Amino acid sequence: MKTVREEDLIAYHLGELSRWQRMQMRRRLERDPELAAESEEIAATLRAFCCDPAPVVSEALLDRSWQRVRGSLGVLDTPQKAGRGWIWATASVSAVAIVLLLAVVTEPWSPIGRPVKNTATASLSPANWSQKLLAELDHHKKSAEPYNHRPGPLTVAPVDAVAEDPALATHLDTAERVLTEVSHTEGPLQPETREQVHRLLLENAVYHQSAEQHGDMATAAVIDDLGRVLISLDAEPNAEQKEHTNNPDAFRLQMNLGGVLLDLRILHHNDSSHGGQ
Amino acid sequence: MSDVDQQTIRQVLGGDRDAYRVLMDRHFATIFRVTFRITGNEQDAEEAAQEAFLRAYNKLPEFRRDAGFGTWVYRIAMNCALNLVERRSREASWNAAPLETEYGTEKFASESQRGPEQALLDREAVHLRERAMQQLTPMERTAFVLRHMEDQPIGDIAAALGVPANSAKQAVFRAVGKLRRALRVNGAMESPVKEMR
Repeated sequence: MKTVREEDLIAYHLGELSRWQRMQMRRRLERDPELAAESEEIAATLRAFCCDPAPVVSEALLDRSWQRVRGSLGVLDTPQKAGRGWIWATASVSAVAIVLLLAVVTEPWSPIGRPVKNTATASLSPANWSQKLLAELDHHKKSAEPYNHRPGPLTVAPVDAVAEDPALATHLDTAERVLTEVSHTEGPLQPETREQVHRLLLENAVYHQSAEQHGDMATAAVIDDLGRVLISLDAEPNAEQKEHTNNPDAFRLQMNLGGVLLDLRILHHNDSSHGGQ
Repeated sequence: MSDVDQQTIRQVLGGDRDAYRVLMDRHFATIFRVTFRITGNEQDAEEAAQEAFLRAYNKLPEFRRDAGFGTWVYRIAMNCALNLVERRSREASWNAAPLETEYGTEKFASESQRGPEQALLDREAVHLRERAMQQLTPMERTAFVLRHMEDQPIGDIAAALGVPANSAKQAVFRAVGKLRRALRVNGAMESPVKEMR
C-alpha cells in the first residue's frame, strides 16, 4: 500500500485531494492511530493560522491612499492604440517563432528531417525496455550524477543547505519565479526583470561559494548552472541592439533555462521530502 | 462585472482620472486585507495596495472585461505584495509582523479583557506564530496565506506568482511543513495552537 507522506496529509486538510483520494485517506486515518495523530498535528497547525483578522480600512487610510495614487495617475492610452500594439506584438512573436523553427530544422544537429537511427533500444521488448529504464533510473538516483558528470539535484540525499538556510531558499524561490517569467515572455527583458536578474546574479556567487564550503555539491551544481543562465540573461542585448542582431544563442539559452528551472524544482522537492522525515 | 465598475472604467478610459476613486472605494478593503496578510504589517500592506491600484490603472486599457475588476486588481495585488515581501526580506531590519503596530496593541487590549493570564497566552501564541512565519520564504508565505487564509485556488495563486501550478502547490506544502515543525520546536503544538482556536 502506498505510504502516506506529509504532503498528502497537508493536501487532504487543504482540500487538494479528489473525492476518491479523500475517502481513501479517511479510511487510512481511521485504521492508523499514528497517522491520525500526525494528521491532527497538521490540522492544529492550520487552525493556528486561520483566524487572523485583517485591520479595518478607515476613511483616513482610504483618503491617504487615494491622494497618493491620484498624484501618479497619468493620461491613459486609448484602447484602440492598445489594440494596435497587441497586433504588432503578435506579429513579432510569430516572426520570432518562425525564425526559431527554421533554425531548428536547418541546424546540422537537429534530428528533424533526418531518419531515426535503429538503436538497440528499439529492438527490446516492452518488458525488457521498462526494466532497462528502471535500472537506469535507479543507477541515476544512486550515483546522483546527471549528464554533465557533476552531482545534480536528482539525489535521494537530504538537501541540508536549502533546508537549513532560509536565505538560500528565498534566493532559489526568487530565481524560479524570475526564470519562469522570462521563459514565458517574448522579446527583450523588462527593466524590472533585468534588475532582478542582475541582483540574483550577484547573490548567486555568494550562495555558490557557501554551498561548496558546506560540501553540498548537488546544490552547488544547480547554483552554478543557475549562474550561467543568469549571466546570459544579464548580458542579453537590449531591445534596440536586438533588432540588429540575430541571436543564435536564444534557443540554447531557452533550453538551459528550462533545465535550470527543472533542477530548482527538484531541489525544492528534495527539501520538502527531507523536511517531512 | 458590476455595472458600476463597468461604467466607471469607461469614464476613466475616457479621461476622467478622478472617477478611479470609485473603483478604489469599492475594492480597497479587499485588496488591503490580502496585502496585509501577505506582508504581515500595515505599512507594507498600504504600500502594496496602493501600488496594485496604480498598476491596475496603468494597465486599464489592456483590461479584458470578461473578469471582474475586483478579481483582476486582486491578482495584481498578490504580485505586488509578494514583490514587496521579497524586497523586505533582503533588508535585515524587516519584520513580517511587528507586534508594536497600532492594530496589534488594540488587539491585545481587547483580548486582555478576558483576563491577564489569557492575554499573556494570546501574546505568546502570536509571538510563536510570527517566528514560525518568518521561517518561510516570501513565495512560501504568499502561497500559504493565499491558499489557507484567503482560500484562493492553486491555479490563481500560480498565475499571480508567475509559477506553474505544481510549484505553487509545493510552496504551500513546504510552508505548512515548516510551520508545523516550527510550532513543534517551540513547544506550541499543545498549548498555543489549541488556545488560538
